[in-house]
Amino acid sequence: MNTPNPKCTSGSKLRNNVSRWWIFPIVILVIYGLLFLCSPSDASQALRSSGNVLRTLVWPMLLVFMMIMALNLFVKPSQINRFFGRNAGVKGYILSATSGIISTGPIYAWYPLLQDLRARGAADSLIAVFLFNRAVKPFLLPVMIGYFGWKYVVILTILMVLGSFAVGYCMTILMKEEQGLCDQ
Amino acid sequence: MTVAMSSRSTNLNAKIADSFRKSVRQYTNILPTLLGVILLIGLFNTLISKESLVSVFSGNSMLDTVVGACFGGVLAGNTINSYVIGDQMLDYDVGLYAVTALIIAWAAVGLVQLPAEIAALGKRFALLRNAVSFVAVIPIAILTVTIFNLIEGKVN
Repeated sequence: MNTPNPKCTSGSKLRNNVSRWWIFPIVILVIYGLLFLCSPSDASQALRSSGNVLRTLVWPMLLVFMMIMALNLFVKPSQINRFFGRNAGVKGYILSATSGIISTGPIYAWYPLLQDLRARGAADSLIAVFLFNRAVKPFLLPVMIGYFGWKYVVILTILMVLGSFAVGYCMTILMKEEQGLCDQ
Repeated sequence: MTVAMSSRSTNLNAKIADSFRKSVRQYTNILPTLLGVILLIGLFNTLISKESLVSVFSGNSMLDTVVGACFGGVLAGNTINSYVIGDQMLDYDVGLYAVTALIIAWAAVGLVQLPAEIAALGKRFALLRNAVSFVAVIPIAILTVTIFNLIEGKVN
């Protein structure tokens, strides 16, 4: 029996993965194309809105890129495990919550960093805590207080942080924590 | 000693180059999906008006909380937009439960960015995290408004 050439197999698998991720943006572009035919003004406005979103992404993505480089250079997997691993305990929850709260920019700017941390052994529960705490925006608190009042904002903020811990705990159970693996 | 320093410098340069290559590779892997997500957000911002959003709420607190969480999970963009929309919803007499659920879900749950999250963190994690976060939004919203009303001395 002929065994497949591992190079050919891995190469075609990589090409399949790469081409698979282009399906989604191509579908969206087709929708834009259809929208241009039906309503060019709406399509132009949507494109302009997307452009504005892209502009807000530039600095956060640059920051995340530098953080990933710093992680690759200076942080060992054992250190990731100590602070963000499955056995990090309360310290890990607090650190993840704090990191989520102080992280800025759109959520998708942080996905590459989270992917990197997860591959290095960060617990799924702590990544979930980080992501949920992105709903807490200290820089926008004054705006929120202006709209809804400080009592409402304080109650909401405290409950969101506590809720994030519950989400993290649920993820521990549901994901049956697998250290260092990405289920791509 | 000079040879040792030169060797360390070469090692560091090699590490920096390797780190740079790995970081670029990670970004290029996620870029197609990210592009799709950004274009989708533009579509949502344009095609869904605030008036159409508000017309969906029935006045039933529990149902509106769930609907608020659904909209918050589907809509995307700067978080400050959720405050503006929430404030306008209150002007249209939509309940605070629904507004709170929308604000929390806007940032904590993300249907629009789900493809990017799946690309980065895997399908199982992304789907479970969003599902669990969506479920968590509802009791958090209810508790927030209930406690707030108790403190303010208002009747539910």
